[in-house]
Amino acid sequence: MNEETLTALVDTHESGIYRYLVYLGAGHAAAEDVLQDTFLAAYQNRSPENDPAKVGAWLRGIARNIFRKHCRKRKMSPILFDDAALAAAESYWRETAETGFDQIMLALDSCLKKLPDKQRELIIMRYDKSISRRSMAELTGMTPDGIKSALRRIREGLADCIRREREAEK
Amino acid sequence: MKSEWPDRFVNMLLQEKLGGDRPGGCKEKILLRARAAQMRRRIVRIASGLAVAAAVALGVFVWRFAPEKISGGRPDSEKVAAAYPPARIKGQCSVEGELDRGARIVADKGEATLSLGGYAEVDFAPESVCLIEGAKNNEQVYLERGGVHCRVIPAAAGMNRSFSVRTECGTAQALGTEFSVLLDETEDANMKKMLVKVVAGVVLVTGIYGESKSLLAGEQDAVKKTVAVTEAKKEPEKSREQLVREAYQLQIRMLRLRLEDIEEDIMENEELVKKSDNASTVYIAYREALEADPEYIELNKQIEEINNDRQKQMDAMRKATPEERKELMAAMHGEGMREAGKKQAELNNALRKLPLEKPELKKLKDAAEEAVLAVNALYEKLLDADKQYRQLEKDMESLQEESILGGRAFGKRGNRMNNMPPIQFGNGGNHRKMIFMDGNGAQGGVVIQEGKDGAEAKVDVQTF
Repeated sequence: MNEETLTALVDTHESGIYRYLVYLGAGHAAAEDVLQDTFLAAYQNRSPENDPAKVGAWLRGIARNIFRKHCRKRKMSPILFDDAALAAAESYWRETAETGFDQIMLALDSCLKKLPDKQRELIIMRYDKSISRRSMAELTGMTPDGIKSALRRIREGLADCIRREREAEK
Repeated sequence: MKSEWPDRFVNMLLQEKLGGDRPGGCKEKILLRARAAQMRRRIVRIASGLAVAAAVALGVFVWRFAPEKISGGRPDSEKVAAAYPPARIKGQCSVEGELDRGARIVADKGEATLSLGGYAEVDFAPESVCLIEGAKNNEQVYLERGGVHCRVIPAAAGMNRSFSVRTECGTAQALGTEFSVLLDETEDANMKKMLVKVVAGVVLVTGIYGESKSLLAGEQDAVKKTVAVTEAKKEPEKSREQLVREAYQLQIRMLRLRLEDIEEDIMENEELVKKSDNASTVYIAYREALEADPEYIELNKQIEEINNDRQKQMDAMRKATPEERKELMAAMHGEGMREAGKKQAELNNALRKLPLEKPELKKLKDAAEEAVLAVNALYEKLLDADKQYRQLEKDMESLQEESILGGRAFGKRGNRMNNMPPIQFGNGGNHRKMIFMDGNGAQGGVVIQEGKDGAEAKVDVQTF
């Protein structure tokens, strides 16, 4: 692979692979590191396909392996390192995120607006202001576990909402 | 487990939507690292290719010029046995029994010389008495009386042979050398001593109690029958840490030997040998063409003149009085010296650029580089094909990591340039030199200038 091909590859797949790594559980710093290593590894090998979707799957495979090594090296315990879990993750990613990411983000916007105020507040505290669960618990008078469950329920609601929005579009 | 993925997916979406912008410059970092990786790969490829060429050329040199050249490349035991020279004696002496092992030689008052194995010659002092002992390639004489002067031809690379003189006081073993042994007798048999004087090389002197010491050229020593050569040193008890370290070292050494065996097998690959021969031939053709170039000759002549002037100044310094030396020093470090240095740098630069400016030479230079790369590509392919090699390498790496010194004390294989056999390697800041060998020794090579900040490495074939 030459530099030109690599540049094109990065332009096309950088955001997707980054998102995929965050989806797998990588923090921002880890995702950046693994992202770089992924494209370097790809650069040293030849892409088996020309179809962008297949190239995307190939890059995700590389990213998965590098992230797995990254976690082992740092003795992190990521959720997913059995093959079945990874297959499920990949399959969900393909079904949901492979096409029309911009539409998904629009759907998310719309779903966020539909959230009750209290739930939206929790989401903003957690994701926009990066407040820890413990601090959120102090601010809201809930327990940290309660915050965890509440956030999970909100995300599940958002996932349903996004799915409905997309189905409605179709 | 599956229900977790939608949650993770939304988590990712929220992070992207609300979690702020990603730090930029990732693409630039990727491209920079890719360039650096490419540069490293290129250096390693060229360096290891050159190593093969150098090793093969060295092998050819040894094969051609070794004194005990054996046809067919491998030792043929029958031929060696047939070729082993019998003992010969000339001069004034008498031989008791057949001139072979066990024979007793009594020298008369004149000169006598005994030749053993074709590699050791023993001159007898008048009235000395010797017995022929030893074995093939381990020739030995037992000096009963008098003295001997011995000349031993050093063994060629890969040959294992020795020569020693034994007396009742001890043994002097030659390690490719010239030395004398004199048995100094006194009335008291226990006070006898063996005098060993080394003319050239190294001699290992061992007393009858097993204590030994090495004598270098110009050194001499006396070994008394009743006194040890040196006081026996009591080995200090080893700590557990030392024992563990030694165990690791032993295992790593064994793995390394096995790896070297595999590398040797690969080096014997017919196609690789053919490609390496080709690389050597192409390189030598380039060098010969370069050396025949009038401009090259002229540039070299000018460099030599500068060197000669410098040598003259150094000679004058050596002969000068302290006062004169001060003046000379001042002159040497003045303008003239700087000019000469500048001129020499310019000449060297011109010498380096010469092959690039002349199409015929450039063609040959490129061909040399290409041939070397072809060797390397094949070598790497062969190494890749050898699963056992890779496994052993992994084992060795993990042993090095496990070792209590973190591997550093035992030396990683990094300097072997990506698994290559050892090569002649000079370090000079950010450039490295690979030396090519031919029948006359080191004649030229390749300089690899590492680029800064991910820039391309410059590779240059040169004649030194």
